Formats: sequence, structure tokens, C-alpha cells
Amino acid sequence: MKAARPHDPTTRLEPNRTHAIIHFGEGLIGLSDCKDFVLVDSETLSPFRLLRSFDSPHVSFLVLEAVMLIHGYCDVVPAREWETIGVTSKSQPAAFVIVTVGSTPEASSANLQAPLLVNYDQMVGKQIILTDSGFSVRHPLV
Amino acid sequence: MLVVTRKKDEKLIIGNEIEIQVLRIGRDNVRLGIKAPAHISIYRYEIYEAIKNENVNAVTSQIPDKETLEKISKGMKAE
Repeated sequence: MKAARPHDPTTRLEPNRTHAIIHFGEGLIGLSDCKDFVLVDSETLSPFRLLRSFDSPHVSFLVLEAVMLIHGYCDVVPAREWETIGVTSKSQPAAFVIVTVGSTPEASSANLQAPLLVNYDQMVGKQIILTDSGFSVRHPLV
Repeated sequence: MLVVTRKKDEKLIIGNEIEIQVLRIGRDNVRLGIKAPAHISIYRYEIYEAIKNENVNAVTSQIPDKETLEKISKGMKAE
């Protein structure tokens, strides 16, 4: 296998898929300049996905659908938060959590407190903070 | 930084849409009420900072290899 070029986390990903841009109007928290992202789906990553900044390709996040960790996660997110990105009770909600991979599986975690909400119909997203949810910013994956 | 003195029940307005009202003044805290459009996110500063740090730390410069990710996903289960 060819070694990955430094600073280009996409080198090892299959290039044979087209990816649409998801627009985060406010950017991510602390990264307000990064507003447009592509969600990269690849067999190499599954069940994880890569959320890659369209403007700054060196900025990318490993993400996971929140329901893979918490049953009914989308229902925990208040309806008013979904409404800010145009998700209504009729549309399909999608929530992703950002994953940090540690040196071991036990040291790897997901940020359940600050999910990324996505409206696939309009291709818009927003990162929110679930202040009173009791969810951890470092929820252990295993 | 703009510094303004307000009494209990008095308000500030930021832009045309954001209102902040002093609801109660305690010995070492104040209780504020904030009226803002739904698309404006309002967080306690320290929580915002914590999430910001998590985001910055989670930026992936190298994607973990398939084997590492498989090890993690095998051990994962939904609660």
C-alpha cells in the first residue's frame, strides 16, 4: 500500500464516489470559517465517516451516526434545534458525533454533547450543544 | 469592551433583535433573561470554550487505519 501523503487524510480513500456539500451556516464551534463540508463514505472507514472541510481540506473529522451509540438519540435533541435547520417531524433527522481515536479502542471517545445535526433535504447542518442532556464530551466508544 | 451599568429589570438591546434583561441581582451572581431569534445560539461561555477545544483537538490529520477502526467498531454497542 502506498504511504499516505502528510496533511492529506483523503489519500487513502476511494475516489470513486461523488460527495455533495453540506453547508454549516455558522461553521463548527470554534471553527467558524469552515462552513462547507463533504461527508466522505468509504469502506475503509465504515461504520465511521469523514467530515471534510471543503475550504480547508486539512480540516476533517471522523464522525459516527449518533444512533450507533445511543438508541433514540435524535429524539433527545429538542425540536427547536431541528427546526433551526429546517428539519420537521416529516423529514428524516440525522445526527453525527465527532470521534476522537486514542492509542487504544478504550481511549477512543465520541462527543455526545455537541452533535452535528444534518438536514439532507436542504443539505444544511449545524453543531449544537446539548447543555442539560447529561451526555459526555468524551463518551467512551467501547 | 463596552461597559454599561443596568439596574434590576432594565434591559439592553443588541442589534435589532437581541434583548438582555437583568432579572435578579444576587450577592455574587446576576440572573439574566435573553430574548433572541431561534437561529442565534446562546451558551454559557465556559461550555462553548470546552466544545471549541474538543473540536480543535478532534481535527483528524491522519485517518486511522482500517484495522484500528475495526477494533473500535467491534467493541461498540448502542446504549
